[in-house]
Amino acid sequence: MENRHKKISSIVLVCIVGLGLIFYLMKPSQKESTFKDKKEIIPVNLLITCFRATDNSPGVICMRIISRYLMQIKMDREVKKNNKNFKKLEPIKLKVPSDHYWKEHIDFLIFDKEGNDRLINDNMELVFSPEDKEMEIGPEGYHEVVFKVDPSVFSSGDDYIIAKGDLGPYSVVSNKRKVPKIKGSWEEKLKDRASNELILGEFEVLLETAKRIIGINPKSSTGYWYMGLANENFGHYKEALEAYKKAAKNFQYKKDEKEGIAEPPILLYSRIREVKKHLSN
Amino acid sequence: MRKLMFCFWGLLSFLGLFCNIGYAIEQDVSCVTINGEEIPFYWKGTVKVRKRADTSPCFSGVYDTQWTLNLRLKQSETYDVKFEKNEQLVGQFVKLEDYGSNWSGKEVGSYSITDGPYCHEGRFSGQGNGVGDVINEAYIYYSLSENDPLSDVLPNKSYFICARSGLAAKFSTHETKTTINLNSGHTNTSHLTWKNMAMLDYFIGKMFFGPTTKLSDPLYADEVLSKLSNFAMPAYDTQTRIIEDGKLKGSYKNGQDMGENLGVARKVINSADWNIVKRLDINPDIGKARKDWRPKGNGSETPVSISAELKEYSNLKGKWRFTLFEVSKEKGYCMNAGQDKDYDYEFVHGQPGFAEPKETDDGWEIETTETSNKVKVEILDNDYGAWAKIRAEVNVEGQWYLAKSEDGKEYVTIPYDDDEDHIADYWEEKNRVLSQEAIEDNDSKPEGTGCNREPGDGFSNYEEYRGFKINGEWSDTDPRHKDLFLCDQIGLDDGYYGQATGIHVHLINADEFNGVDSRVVNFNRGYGTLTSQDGQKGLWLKEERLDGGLVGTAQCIGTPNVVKWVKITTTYGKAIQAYQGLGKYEGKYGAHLKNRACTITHELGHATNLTHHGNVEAYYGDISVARQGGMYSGNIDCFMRYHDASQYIYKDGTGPYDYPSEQEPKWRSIFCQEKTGTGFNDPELEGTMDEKGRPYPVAGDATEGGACLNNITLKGYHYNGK
Repeated sequence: MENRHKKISSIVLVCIVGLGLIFYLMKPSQKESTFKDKKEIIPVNLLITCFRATDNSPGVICMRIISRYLMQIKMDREVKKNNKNFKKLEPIKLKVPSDHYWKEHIDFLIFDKEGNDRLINDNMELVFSPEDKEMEIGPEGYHEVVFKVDPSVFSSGDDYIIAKGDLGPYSVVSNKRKVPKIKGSWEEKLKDRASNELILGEFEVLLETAKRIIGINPKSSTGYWYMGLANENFGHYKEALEAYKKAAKNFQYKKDEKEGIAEPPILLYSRIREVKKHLSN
Repeated sequence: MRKLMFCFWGLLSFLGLFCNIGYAIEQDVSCVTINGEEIPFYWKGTVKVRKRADTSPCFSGVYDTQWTLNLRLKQSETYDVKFEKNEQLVGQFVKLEDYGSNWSGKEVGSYSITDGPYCHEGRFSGQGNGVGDVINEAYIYYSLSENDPLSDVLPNKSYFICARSGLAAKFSTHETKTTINLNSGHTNTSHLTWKNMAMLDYFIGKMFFGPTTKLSDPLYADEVLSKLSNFAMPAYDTQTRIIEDGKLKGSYKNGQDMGENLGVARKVINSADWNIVKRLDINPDIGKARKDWRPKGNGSETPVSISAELKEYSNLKGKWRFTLFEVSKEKGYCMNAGQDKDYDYEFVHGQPGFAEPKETDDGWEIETTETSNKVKVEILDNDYGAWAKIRAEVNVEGQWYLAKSEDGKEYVTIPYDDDEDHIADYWEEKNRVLSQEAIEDNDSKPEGTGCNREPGDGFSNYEEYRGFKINGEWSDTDPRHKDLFLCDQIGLDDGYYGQATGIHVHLINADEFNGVDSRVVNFNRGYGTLTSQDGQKGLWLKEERLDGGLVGTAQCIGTPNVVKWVKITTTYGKAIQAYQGLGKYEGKYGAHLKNRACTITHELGHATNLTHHGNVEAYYGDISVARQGGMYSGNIDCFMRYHDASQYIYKDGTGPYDYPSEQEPKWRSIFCQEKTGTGFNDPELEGTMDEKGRPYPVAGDATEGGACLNNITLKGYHYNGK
């Protein structure tokens, strides 16, 4: 009899708690908090960028792994003092057992303007990644990963790319980077192509591209600059110096007060000095 | 039967209690008793008085004088009225006297008259306001006996109130008079001031006593009857007025013919409209918000509470109402995040003892569900710059009483903000800008940085208080310290710029300014923003292919509001080794990244309106050649100076000489504060020569630029270091 009473009491208690819960859930909600988007701070950031040149030449996707700790220590100290919610971050360590790590742990997605996404990992070839197998992501700087990308994955200039995945224990999402549009003139397209070839370290094709630029515009400082870089890489210092000199001669300084600064091509002058040193030796 | 008896007895008791309350009110002319508390009362209301004189005083035209009287009258002296024979108390006169009334008045008028060859036209206008002087006499008569011999002429609760011309409020009138000679067309205009020409006069109710009547206490009925003047004031109020439903309420409009003058009939219309009620003399208090509280834009995490109380009478209870008004509606929840345009404050829903809040025209209102002596209400903010006023009212015996703060205001602000500039006072005190306006932008720190330029960073004090979302986290900024916002798409943030200038550089995500094309950081600006510019822009640092060996460039030299971008050349991948010659690339912060950080710092210098140290052509064919006062001149440690040329031309035109690269500092580290050269540019080296036969100084003092730190400019629209 006593047990029966206990059983009934338990059922009544459960009902009361249940009803309370229902009423609680039915209670009119407050205005949505403006901090709905507030999320836990992840101490690592991914920063991606993308380069395209022509419809048929490879694109490049570059990714930097950056410590938010680095950003934090660069941020205004006052921010920390005034913000009670400030959470101090620490550098993190990341083990990268092989080059496969990047494509296995990070998804590269292209979104169209309707928001439909597609995975492009299979169309990417790893070109460059950090040599360290155990990286510290902290104040010492960033780490870079570079991929060569099949040009067919870029369908339009309105697309954008996002990288997301897991780095160690953290789920990360990169910045949203718009896919660059292909430029109008062939000279500009070829300059972009040469820039990509330089990033990818494809110096033979870079030399060919430089020649094509010069073919279109015989006074192209940029064309001669890439020609010089390719020749220097092959050890052809005489040809490199000749190309660099033409690049310097044809370099156009920007003079318009509101549209440019007369910055000199100091890399070009430093290459000239280096090449001259090689030749004098 | 017993039940019926019980009900009957209860009803009698109730009526008895009711009658007792009524009796208590009538007995003490200045207090009422509620819950055992003796509470004084006064009469409060508005009287609108108008005197309009058509075609008067003597010409064609109109005079119109209007007064608004905010009456506050207190019952003061009393005069008992007795039968002479048996000393029976039959009634009581209660005199009313001013208890903090005020008034305002205005007058307009015009006339026109032709007098022979002259036409006179005049215009009158005047206005005034003041405190007191709104009554001369005011009495209420309470009849206290069924056999009151005065009841025929003075019914119970009769009253009169009057102010006689010249004795009460007055103000001056100004006249502009124009005389036109109709023959010659000559016009003469004169300006006159008629001192205290507008004088308040009104009579509400038939008067009991004349202005010179002297009253003694007690009065005897026969004596009173002889004194009752029964003044007839046909131009004013002709009725005996009686308090009805506890109110002195009524109106009249009566005219008075003033005869003819110059063949024109004159008439004055007097009108009055009044509504005066009995008010308890209670002073509810409203407390200020906690001084160290500020809005945090975060909903339910830290509501602020405001309390109100009937402190003087602890047994007195009332129903409370809080009204949030003039509630700010800033866009978003800080300067660069959120989109909403809703009210920035709201009452917490479901507070115990409160009904659900209701939206009003400019905020919210909430009422208690029970009466109480004191009450506390909680308010949420949805914006870091939220601001509002809140008032509390308590309803006692059917009337609402407004609570006042410790400084006598009928509201308090949220947050605590005595100067009402929408910035919490404690924040202003902490940041030492309490004496400044919300719209001011006077950042002067770091010392020396930008000291040759206008102070400020483009963000007003209010905007720095409301704060920014910076890399996903909200923060306010220091209103005395310059701030620069940078969207870095490279990962090297500001290089050494912040470190070298002391400027607080905030790294923001791309969605923390309004797109890379517009770049406005305070895109949610509204209240208290600078009027001198259309928002303050952040800088956009990006990585792109730059032509022909350029390492970096800004779109132009200027302030962040005009420089569209800062670009650094692409240096991804192993190829960097091929042309940068700065050692093996390891993907870490090695020499080439330091070099890039220096480049970024230099370009950010351009983007904060710094020029090179000189504008002299420094390149000759395929070699870089330094010249006097050119790009290589000035302080050798400055980020804005070019370094490591191939050769230099001495100032006397001799050369070229081999540039002393071995004397270049490895890394640049400062923004200079003088044009004077240092190191191998030091002008004191004049006339010296090294062992290789190279004359010094190499490039000398800076010419165009120099003193870079002092010339940094963050706000406004400036180009090319100007």
